[in-house]
Amino acid sequence: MLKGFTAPRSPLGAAALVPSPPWHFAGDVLAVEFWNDPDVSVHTLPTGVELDTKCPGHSVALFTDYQFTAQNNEYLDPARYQSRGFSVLLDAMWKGARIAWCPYCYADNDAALMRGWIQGYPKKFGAVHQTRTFAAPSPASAQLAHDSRFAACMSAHGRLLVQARVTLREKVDRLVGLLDRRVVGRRYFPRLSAGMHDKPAVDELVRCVSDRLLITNIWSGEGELSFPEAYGEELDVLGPLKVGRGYRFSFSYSVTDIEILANLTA
Amino acid sequence: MALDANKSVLDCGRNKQVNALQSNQLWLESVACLLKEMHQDTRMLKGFTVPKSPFGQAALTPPPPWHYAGDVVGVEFWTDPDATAATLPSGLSTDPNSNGHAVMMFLDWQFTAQDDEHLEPARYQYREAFILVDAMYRDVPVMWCPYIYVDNDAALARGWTQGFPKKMGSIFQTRSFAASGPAAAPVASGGRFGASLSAHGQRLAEACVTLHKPVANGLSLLSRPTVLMRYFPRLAAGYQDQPAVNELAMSITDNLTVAGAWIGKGELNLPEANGEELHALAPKRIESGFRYSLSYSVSDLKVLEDHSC
Repeated sequence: MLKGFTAPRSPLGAAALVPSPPWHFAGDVLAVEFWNDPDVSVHTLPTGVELDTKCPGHSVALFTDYQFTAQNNEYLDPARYQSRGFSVLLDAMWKGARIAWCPYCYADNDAALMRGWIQGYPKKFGAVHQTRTFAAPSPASAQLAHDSRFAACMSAHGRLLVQARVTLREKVDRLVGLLDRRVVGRRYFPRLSAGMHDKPAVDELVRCVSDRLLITNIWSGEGELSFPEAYGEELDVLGPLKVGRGYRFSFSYSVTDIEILANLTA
Repeated sequence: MALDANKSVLDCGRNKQVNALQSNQLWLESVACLLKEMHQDTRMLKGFTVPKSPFGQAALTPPPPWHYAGDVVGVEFWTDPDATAATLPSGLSTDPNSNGHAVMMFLDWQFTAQDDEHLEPARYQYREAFILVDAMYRDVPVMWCPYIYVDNDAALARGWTQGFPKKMGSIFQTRSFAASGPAAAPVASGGRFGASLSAHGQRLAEACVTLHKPVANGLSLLSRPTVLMRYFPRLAAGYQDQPAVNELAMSITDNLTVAGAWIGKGELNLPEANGEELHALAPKRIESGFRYSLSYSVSDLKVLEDHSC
């Protein structure tokens, strides 16, 4: 009997890309709020998901630098279980509920890629970097303080896809109008058998379930953001017409479940 | 100047919407026009894999047919038959004639689909390392792929679709160049080729092949079909041990071609590593080493058994 939550399933279950849930995440985020052209971004939505007419085109670009663990001290294997990611979340509606749709998502680690596919995040590989803060004060420390600056970028296959910068202005108690919606993704797994290439084995609209979500040490300020045009990507189509606030904060949450909204193979 | 050069490169690729557009400003407006022409009712995301997108340009991999060409350095060997038997999924059994027989292959690949993807080497070249063990599907001798590593996300996505249980690794092999010299590694008697696989900072495999003689019928080195398992789990609570996709599948390769095949002495070491079980298949006895060039196409897959819940 082969063991493992994902491939490769193996005699001991030690080779699988991702251990079984519960999954726990902790990390730092650089976020920039922006507005794209709703007449364009509407075309990234799957069937059944609509733009939020109260805030058309309102989106957030998220750079994450995080650590993962499941039940076996995975966080003590930093090479395998730390990851940096980038995602775009677009304000949207599902049957009257406010949601955030994730059209594009990147990570720098194979375990994160597989977890992403399982959760409905359409992850590809990207090289993601963000300015970090250190306890020892120095011009290189990037303190969490007024006028302190943080930057982030994401590239893939030698092409720059996203650049962002945040200048901190004030510490705040909470994010207002940002990351206050549950994320909706699409679990999708194609078939390769001839004649079935457009009939996926799995095509589900899903809503992420996050337990014990904690957002702390929130600093707010001004954001800058650009999505350069690049071959093999459509991220630039969602590029900002207007950029809003920038945030820097720390987060943690756990995942043990997912809510299936619709089976799109039916 | 730089912009023009960039544009001409993009033009020879598959990013067709770029052809009409030259600046970011124009880009947004023009794409908006293109997208606004689409009927809202027929809004349809495109792409063979995620991410599915309005133009289908963002997907990790273009749709089949997929075409591959590359170089192989490999070692044929015998390992603990109990260890190979333990890797077999439901539906496969051990081959009584060759239980414990395995091949470790290192490949340096170039890929293309229908839009000159081979002209985008950063995205569509990749390196790969995998192990195949002898098995039986009913009365058909096959090879089963328990572990495989690549260095590229498009290859990862194609692999998962085919049933290859791909993880990321750093893979290298000695290359041969036409200009002779101590670094050229000629494909000739006595020529030596090294190869290695590492992942997340650990060395997982290292091999060396010393060529002795050419092989007249290179296809004789690939006599069995490969059997794979397409596997995609559910995350919904209560269903995490009932995968959405769990299919035993047989790889179908069209126009399989082997060229410049050489056989000789092989050396292979599979060191123990955390989070891996490759070392359980470490060689007890080496049969041979080989090197050849390989090409084939993929447009189909035969599902042998559906074990999905």
